[in-house]
Amino acid sequence: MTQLNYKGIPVETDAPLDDMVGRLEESRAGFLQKAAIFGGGVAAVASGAMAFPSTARASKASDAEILNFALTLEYLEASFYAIAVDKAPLDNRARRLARVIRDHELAHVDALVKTIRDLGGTPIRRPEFQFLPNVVYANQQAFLQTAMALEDTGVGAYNGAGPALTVMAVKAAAASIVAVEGMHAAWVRGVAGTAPAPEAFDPLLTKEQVLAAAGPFIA
Amino acid sequence: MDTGTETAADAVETSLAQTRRAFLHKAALLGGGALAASGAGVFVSDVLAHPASDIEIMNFALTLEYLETDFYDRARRGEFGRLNEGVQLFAEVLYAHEQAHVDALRAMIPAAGGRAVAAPATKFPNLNQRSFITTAIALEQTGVSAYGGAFPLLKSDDVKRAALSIHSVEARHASYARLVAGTLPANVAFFPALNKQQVLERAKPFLA
Repeated sequence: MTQLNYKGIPVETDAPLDDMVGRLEESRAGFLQKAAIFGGGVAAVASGAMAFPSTARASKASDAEILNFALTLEYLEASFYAIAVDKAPLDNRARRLARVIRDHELAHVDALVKTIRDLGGTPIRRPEFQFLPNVVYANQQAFLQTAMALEDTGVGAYNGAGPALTVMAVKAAAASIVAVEGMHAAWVRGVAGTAPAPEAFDPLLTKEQVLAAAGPFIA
Repeated sequence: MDTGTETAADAVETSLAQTRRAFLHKAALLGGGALAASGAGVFVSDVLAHPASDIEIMNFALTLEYLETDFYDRARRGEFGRLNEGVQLFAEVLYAHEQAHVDALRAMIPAAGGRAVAAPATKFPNLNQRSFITTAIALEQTGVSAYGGAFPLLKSDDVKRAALSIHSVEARHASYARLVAGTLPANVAFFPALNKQQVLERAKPFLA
């Protein structure tokens, strides 16, 4: 098999393309403001779907349960990146990654909490996590290896849960989030110098497989 | 617009709707936005209006995968000029993945009782390494949004599983392309969904 070299990937700069990113952030900020006027972003959408005639109460409950599982993972990721930003000895490139992904995971936490409530469920409280410094964030490579494992697990978890979702807006929300987890996974991998997209098909993980991967961090 | 017959509340509603539409349009143009805007909201009304079958959706996805496969095949063969080592590898990897997606869909469609569409004729403008990468970003982001928009419509669990497995790989590709371009690899917390019409608008320039 050919030895793959990902070292050709340049370090991100604030190149012209970032103008596009800047405009995007502006439009997003504008939207969030408007969403408030409309009475809530995800919340409004989810309650709209709840009016969907075929949606049974039982399916809302099972979707909420699945989202609570996803919420555990999002809390785990958000906590991990928050600690890394604070304590890990990262170079500028890895630090930017940690900061940006932390903010995304926090946004996912907020969205899931609201959506679970809209489904009539009770969002879990933030669990306690344990990150062993030497294994997880003592140096940049440990940080990247842990980030890679968490992001790949996150992708597999949402993918594995996807077919069981029943409420239309929840399916849309899960798709919107898993795509971002996939982007994170590729980003972390690229910075770690390994293949950003290693396979043509991502696995669908069972709840047991996800717990086996994430369990060690949950105190 | 004649507002004389409208009540104040109507006027507010109209203005809000216009603002929202304008935002959606802008978000779509920029290729990103927030979950609620381009995701479920648009989509739920779309479902009611156009109930597409799994086979129709798979054939639509297949057309996009053909387009991507052809695009990366041209790139890796040098049609867009000489690529540096990292970009050449990117083109080779994505070509192999998109071809695998084509093969998977071409096998699944007949298994579901349908007939797989043929590969479309494609055309690409004169590209160089830089514009190849920016076009790759646009195509991959469209692919992610297409699968994201279609997923909630799917009925068969087997098709859902396949779509999910491909969807997140397209997201990895989008991020990979952005890495290669040297721009922020994950630029939104929520990836927008597109409906079929919006996807077609973005793919049309490349269909001969």
